[in-house]
Amino acid sequence: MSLKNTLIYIGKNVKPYWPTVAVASAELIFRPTFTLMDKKSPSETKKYTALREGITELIAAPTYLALPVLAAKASDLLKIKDAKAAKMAKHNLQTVGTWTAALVVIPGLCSAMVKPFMDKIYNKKDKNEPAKLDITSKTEIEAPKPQISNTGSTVYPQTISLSAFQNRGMKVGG
Amino acid sequence: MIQNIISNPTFYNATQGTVAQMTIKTGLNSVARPGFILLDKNIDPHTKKFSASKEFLYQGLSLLMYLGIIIPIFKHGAYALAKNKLFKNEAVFKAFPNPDEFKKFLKLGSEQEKLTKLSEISKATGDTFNRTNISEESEHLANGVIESSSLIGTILGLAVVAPLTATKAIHPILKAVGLVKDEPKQETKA
Repeated sequence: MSLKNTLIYIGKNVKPYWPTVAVASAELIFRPTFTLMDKKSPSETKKYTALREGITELIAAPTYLALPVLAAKASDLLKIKDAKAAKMAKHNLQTVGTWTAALVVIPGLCSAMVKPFMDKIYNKKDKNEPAKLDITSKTEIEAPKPQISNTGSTVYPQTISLSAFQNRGMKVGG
Repeated sequence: MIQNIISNPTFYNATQGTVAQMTIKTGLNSVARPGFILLDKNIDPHTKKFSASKEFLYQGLSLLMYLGIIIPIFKHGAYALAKNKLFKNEAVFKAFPNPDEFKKFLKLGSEQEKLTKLSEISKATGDTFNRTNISEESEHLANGVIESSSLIGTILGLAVVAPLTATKAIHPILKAVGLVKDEPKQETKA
């Protein structure tokens, strides 16, 4: 198919829902990618936001396609005899379908599906995560406090006697 | 009655084309999305105000950028390229010097109106334009150039350029209207 024929095809068959489906599909790739590329946000926040954006666009792209297509089917049911009027009815219903998707259906589906889905993934992840050895946080071991004796001198209590490390006469090899 | 409402020609003409569709859709988003945020009862008032303002600004700036920069470059650029290089022998590009003139012609309701317009252009330019050299196929070609370039511009503008640039402009604006406050710097004692 030559460039000219492709352009003629697009010019003849362009549908009102093409740009919204195209933008939602592109956002499905680019929005999570840009979020993951952000160097200022913490890694876990980036992953969470990117996943959330990905799911939102995954809902939006097929909805932007399905609603106008269904609306066009509804225009067929009206059985408009005049071909020009039928073409305009189809276009107008497809446009209304796109707007309904943008204004009501997608926000509604997202609020019903995205949060529960994210909660499910993150709760599951928390349960499955093995216990990690904490090597970064500070250890809080109390140092022995010095005591003042009756004579006024400072005494440092010895919890482990030095004699514990002395040679008690055990010999290795004989 | 219902058929007359659904097949309304004014609505049909107003919503024709990629640019019109995306302009209306982004305009609706700029009202609907902040509206949904403000209606949410699970968010505290300050966060609601901040998120709704951020969303409104993002949609508004995207729309301005889309209409002001992206579409003029892509739509007019591609039409000029088709007119001067790719299809310079096509009469349709000679008759209509820019995409807006062509779209006005395309929206004319009847064949008679189109013929009248073509004879007007012929008189004005001295060339001959009629339905032989500007056929329905020529109309589809010119429309295809406009719609495909607008579609590419729309994808690049709203899915790539706007998220990268509009978000950078939002923070200073929100700060200027007092919705974002600078976090106090922590002083470290030597």
